[in-house]
Amino acid sequence: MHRPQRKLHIQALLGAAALAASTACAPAAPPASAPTSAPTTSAASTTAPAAAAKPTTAAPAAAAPATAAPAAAAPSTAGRTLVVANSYTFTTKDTDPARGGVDFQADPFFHAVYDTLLTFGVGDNSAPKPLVAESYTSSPDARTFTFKLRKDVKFSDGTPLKAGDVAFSYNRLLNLHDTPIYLLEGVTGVSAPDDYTFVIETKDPNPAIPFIVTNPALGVTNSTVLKAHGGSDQPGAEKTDTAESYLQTASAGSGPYVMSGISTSQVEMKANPNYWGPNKPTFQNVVLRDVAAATQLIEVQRSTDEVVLSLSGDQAQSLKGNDKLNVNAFTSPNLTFLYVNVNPEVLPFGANAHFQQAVRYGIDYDALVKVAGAGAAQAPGVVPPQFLGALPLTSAVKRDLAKAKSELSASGLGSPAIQLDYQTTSTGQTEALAAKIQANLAEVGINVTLNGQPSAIATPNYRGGKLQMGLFGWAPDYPDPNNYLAFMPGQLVGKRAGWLVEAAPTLVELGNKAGATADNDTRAKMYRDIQTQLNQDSPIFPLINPGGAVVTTKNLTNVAYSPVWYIDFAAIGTN
Amino acid sequence: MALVLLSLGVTMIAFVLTHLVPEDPAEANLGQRAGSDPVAVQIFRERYGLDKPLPVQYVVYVSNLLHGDMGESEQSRRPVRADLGEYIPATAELAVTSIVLSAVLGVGLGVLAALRRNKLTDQILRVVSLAGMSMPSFWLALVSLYVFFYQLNLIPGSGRLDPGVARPPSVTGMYTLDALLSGRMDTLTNALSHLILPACVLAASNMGLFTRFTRSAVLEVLENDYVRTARAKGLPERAVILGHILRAASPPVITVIGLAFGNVMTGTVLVENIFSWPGIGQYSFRSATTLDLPSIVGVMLFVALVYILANLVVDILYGMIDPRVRLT
Repeated sequence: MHRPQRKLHIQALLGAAALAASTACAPAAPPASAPTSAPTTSAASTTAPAAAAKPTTAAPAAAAPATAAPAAAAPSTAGRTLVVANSYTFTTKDTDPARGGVDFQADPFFHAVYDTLLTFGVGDNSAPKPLVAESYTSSPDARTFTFKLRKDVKFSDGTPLKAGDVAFSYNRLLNLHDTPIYLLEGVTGVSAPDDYTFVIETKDPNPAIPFIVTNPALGVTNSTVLKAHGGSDQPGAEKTDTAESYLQTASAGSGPYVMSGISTSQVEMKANPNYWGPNKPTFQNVVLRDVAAATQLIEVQRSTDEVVLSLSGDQAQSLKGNDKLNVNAFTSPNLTFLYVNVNPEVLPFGANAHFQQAVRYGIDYDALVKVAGAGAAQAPGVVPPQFLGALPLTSAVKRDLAKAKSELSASGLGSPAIQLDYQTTSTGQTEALAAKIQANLAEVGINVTLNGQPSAIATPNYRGGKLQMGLFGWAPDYPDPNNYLAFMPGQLVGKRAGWLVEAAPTLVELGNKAGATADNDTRAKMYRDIQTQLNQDSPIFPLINPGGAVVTTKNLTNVAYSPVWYIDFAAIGTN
Repeated sequence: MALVLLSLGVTMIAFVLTHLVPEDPAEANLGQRAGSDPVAVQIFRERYGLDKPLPVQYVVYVSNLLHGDMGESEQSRRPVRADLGEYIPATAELAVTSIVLSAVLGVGLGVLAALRRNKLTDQILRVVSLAGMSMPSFWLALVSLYVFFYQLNLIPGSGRLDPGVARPPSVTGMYTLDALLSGRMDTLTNALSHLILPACVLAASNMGLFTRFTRSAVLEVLENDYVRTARAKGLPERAVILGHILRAASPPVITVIGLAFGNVMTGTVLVENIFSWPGIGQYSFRSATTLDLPSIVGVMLFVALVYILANLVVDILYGMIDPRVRLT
């Protein structure tokens, strides 16, 4: 980070005072081995072995990591540190991809340190691209996926990455049965028939597997290193694996960075000296810090080499006129949705189709978008606009107050009362959305009581399907519409709304077909059909895709938001 | 014995209260998807002993505690003792600096205000001290960061060190001390420059409090006969103030400083948040929001210990200042 001159004056004064104070109690001189600068210094002076830098086999152009910035175009960043501020405390839990890989906030770290089989290009999440795997094939029934690995991939300790390492990493995740286990739901086995072939088999057809394997939690770990530190990929690993404590102090991946330190407020990375990719990261050092959003707003305006990730759309908009910053405000692929519970034990009239329509057409979606702030947009369906199978915005439900009142009248419920639960937030945004929904539905004749609760209270009731009406969010686990089958009857979110398979068997069948279809054009059409039906007749109401923002200092280039790993440190360059 | 009983009470209260919250720590820590996976939830519960009845959990915890094992944090997945060992020194460094600053300034200004009673100086100091006590610390933190970092560029931004500066080898966990002990003057300078602003922000409210208390205590002894006698004997005013007035006025001031130190050691979450200071306040906040029981109990034990020690130090200082206390 740039150190301004005046600040140096203060530090010089302090330094003089400190020097005077230290003469009596400090060692006469620092030991020769004591580091006197950032841990990144050593990384900066380390050059990658030439052999490691050059692929031993000619890879297809697409196989090169599409996210790396051309090193030649960037000015020297030797000794400089890329600072990335996020209002999230990175803990030692977040250092083991097979255990901590559910936190979207930790994914940039995993992505930087652990390569995955496939990846996405900067700003392009439409189709997975080669990374560790140079190609893959899917069986016609989309149950068997065979990945051919590159032969020039090396871990940070210089050892070659082989299919056995991939199988170890996947089996370890499966057998640890920890936080990211859901990613491999339905996977019946993984295998490594030879050193450079890796196979995934699934119980049901799952064409989303190539998208799923891009998730940073499925980064490949060095099996030799992990086994030497107690790692296990065998059944019972949840009790026998002890590699977690090792990974809290060091990394064991093949990505462009290695973990060089972790403290209670930040994780530090330095460039991997054995990085196998053709394009080395521009910055030798990266620090991912925990900084409050309000502080980020102030600090980014005084810094260089800094990226801030936690500003709201409105906060980012306030920086638009600052010529020292790049402000990238966007519509995120997250979804904020409303549902009514159709379980008669929870809400006796929840399954009343007219009541559901009254809610659907009573909500003022445009007003909600305004409440949500800059960058937000109405969600035309559950699948976000950036993903395959999304509905066009023209298909989104529009408010029709007359129709809503008519539907409520047809429901025969009079002026029903219902409680809306939601999770309270520090920004107050969910509360504002809930209040707007309450006002909208009051115009229709539905009396909504608001019941905001802390996450610890609201979440279990939501998961347990105990809420009459809920306002919650969904962040994508991977950029594929299969991830949104959770909203179907009998699935994860559907069940929380008391919406079971028997309630809409035709829709369930269509969902099953979409989930098992491999051809992208066909499945895209199926998902649009599904969402059209959801928008016409379901207890789930997609509301908005909230805004997000990535703000960087002007000197940084190629900082693109990803719905999978947020940002790619290695891709960031300078101008 | 009192310490043991207090520890038992604290741990028991923490166990009972945490279990009254209608949320499963497994679900709070595993995330939306894995939290709905019964196998993942069961494995989590077994790992942290949550599958056992509450009384058994309590007995196991206390038994382990007697061996120095405070359990494993569910949020960091490492021993709570290791977590506390990193978070406490950060807060201690901040708290000690701010208390020293506020005590020196607050007591000094309080004496001055009493000696200039009802004069302009006293009026100004009244406004200053009330302003210090009234300003919300998070607001003052943000404003001071804006003014001194962004506008004036006099101090560095948030954090304990600049992002590119290496942490000193850990001895005490306090970066200033550790840098001093290892002779790394550049790191010491950097750590001090980061410490100044948050310490001043924390000191502001306590300084106002100490000023008001000191003024009041000094006024009570100012008209006593022994003060008049001291002055009549021809003692220099400085000796009268330090040796007779301030000493006699000290007990209530020391009491409030002791309590304030306890508060600063345990309740600075907002200031820590604004300044990205990874202290015990932030740790306890996250422990509470994730229902991380081992960490919650660890923090509660620490808080109890801080107040016990603060009171002990206050009692010892009482005895040193007033021998009559020792006799009773």
